Amino acid sequence: MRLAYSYSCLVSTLVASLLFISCSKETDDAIDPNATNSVAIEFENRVGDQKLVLGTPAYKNAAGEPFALTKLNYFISNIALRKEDGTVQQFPNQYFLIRQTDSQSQLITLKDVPSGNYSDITFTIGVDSVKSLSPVAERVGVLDITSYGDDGMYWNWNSGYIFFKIEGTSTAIPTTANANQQFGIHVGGYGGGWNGSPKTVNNLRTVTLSMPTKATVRSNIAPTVHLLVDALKVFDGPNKISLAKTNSVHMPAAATPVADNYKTMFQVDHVHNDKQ
Amino acid sequence: MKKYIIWCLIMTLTVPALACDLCGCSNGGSFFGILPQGHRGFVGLRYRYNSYHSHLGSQNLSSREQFRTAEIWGRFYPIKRVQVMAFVPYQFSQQTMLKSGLTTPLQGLSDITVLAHYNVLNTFMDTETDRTINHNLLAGGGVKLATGRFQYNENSLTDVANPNFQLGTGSTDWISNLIYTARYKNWGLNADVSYRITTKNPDGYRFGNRLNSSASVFYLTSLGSRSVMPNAGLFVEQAGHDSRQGEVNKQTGGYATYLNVGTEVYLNKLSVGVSYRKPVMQHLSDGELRANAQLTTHITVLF
Repeated sequence: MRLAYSYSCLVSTLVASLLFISCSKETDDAIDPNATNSVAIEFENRVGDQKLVLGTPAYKNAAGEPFALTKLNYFISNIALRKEDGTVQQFPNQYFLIRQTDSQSQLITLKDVPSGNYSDITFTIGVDSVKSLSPVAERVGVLDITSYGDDGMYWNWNSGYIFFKIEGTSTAIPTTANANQQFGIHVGGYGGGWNGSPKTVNNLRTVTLSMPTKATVRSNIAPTVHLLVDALKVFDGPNKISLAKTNSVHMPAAATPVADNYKTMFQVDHVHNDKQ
Repeated sequence: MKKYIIWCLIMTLTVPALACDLCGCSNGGSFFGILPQGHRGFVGLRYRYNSYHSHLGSQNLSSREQFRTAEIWGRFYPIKRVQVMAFVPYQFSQQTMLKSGLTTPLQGLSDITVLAHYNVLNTFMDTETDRTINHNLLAGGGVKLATGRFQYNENSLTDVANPNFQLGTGSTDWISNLIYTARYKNWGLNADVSYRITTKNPDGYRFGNRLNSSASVFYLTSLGSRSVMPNAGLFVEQAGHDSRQGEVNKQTGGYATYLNVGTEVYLNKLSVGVSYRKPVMQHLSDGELRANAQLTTHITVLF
């Protein structure tokens, strides 16, 4: 009898464990206007459908030129998030330098974002003219022009910050143009002048991206907006750029077609709204 | 006596997820299906196919992982009441990016598992009395070894940098099992529970602990000289969150419930089986992962 009892005990335990399912219903929490949380933005640099791995000649542009990348840096600033009701939350005076060699730089965090459902993100690629002309003492962090080492992001002789820098190698580059078949494309130019010098072109570009799912900031949800950044667009954007012809760009006036191209390289791939 | 022999031949067990849950997108559990049981050992070859759709919310990164596993399995009775089981899986898998169609293959030895179960209760062994209902309870456990490669390299263009698309978990895990079987005339019932305690692998990645359970009903009939045993049941797998360098990733783990149908055919010393599992309810990786239907076949020699 005791044995039979333990059998039925065992069976019911087994059956009960089958029925136990950790199902949690996802319901949107109410928006508390006083609650804030952070929003993380991830910049995942890629080349077309491939991962970006520096120093690997795995890529090809629309001109059929194989290439490797050795460097990819760009400034992001003036981020704004737009709620579904149209109100805009701005994040002024926050500057970020995304560098492929530094994975920590590819995840940026906006703090104290009010609760709400955000549907769009806007940002500037580069450093705006007001900041570019502000006193050195106000240009700290990634804007500290002494902080770049041998990977300079500032033109002392010309036009302020280098907004965007891409470097690499391609066998399509004639050795007469560059003995090591290297290319370097540096884009800057905020439209101002420096020390009274003539005004440059304005290569600042602003991007607005819609999110495939809304970023739902709550007291217990800190969304991550995951961007894919396709470096192939630098060559294969609205303007087709051949490395055989264009492999050395260091002046704002020549860089405008590149800026128009990289404006198209950002996309919100997905949004994580994980509960904390 | 005759009943006893038939029972020994066809009594079935299901034992839950082993080798592939490690690689199969964190939730690729695979139970044994219906096994020839009794006091006999066996050696066989099993083939399993399962697939997942991953990163469902992504515009560009959605993918499909297909896991094909060929596995040598065996069961031995070194002592009367103790059975030892071993599983040596080999994977031929691939990931396909849905947007670009790019595929990445994954092939090699997976994680080997060794289990030992003790017959706590066995009314067939314990008595020759002709009972209406017979029971068997096995309790035991074992170890999943780190024989399959685990390489998590973000900077490789040829590898998928995903802990779930790997040949193994890279960790030595501990498994405990309870397997219960009851039989009444031609009908039988299996139920089992398995819990796996994971450890951190050398890369600092730790898969969530896993609880698998299943229950199925089988019926024995004959078709000419063959014994045929159709079966149907439910299989549930649940896993906790994974962690990487101690940091919990909430987009891992979850549960999936499958409806299982299959049949076994016995020809003297040979046993063949097929089993199909269809997910009926699931919430994996916070909804970012979807398990598709799975198929398992085997050919096994009893000795």
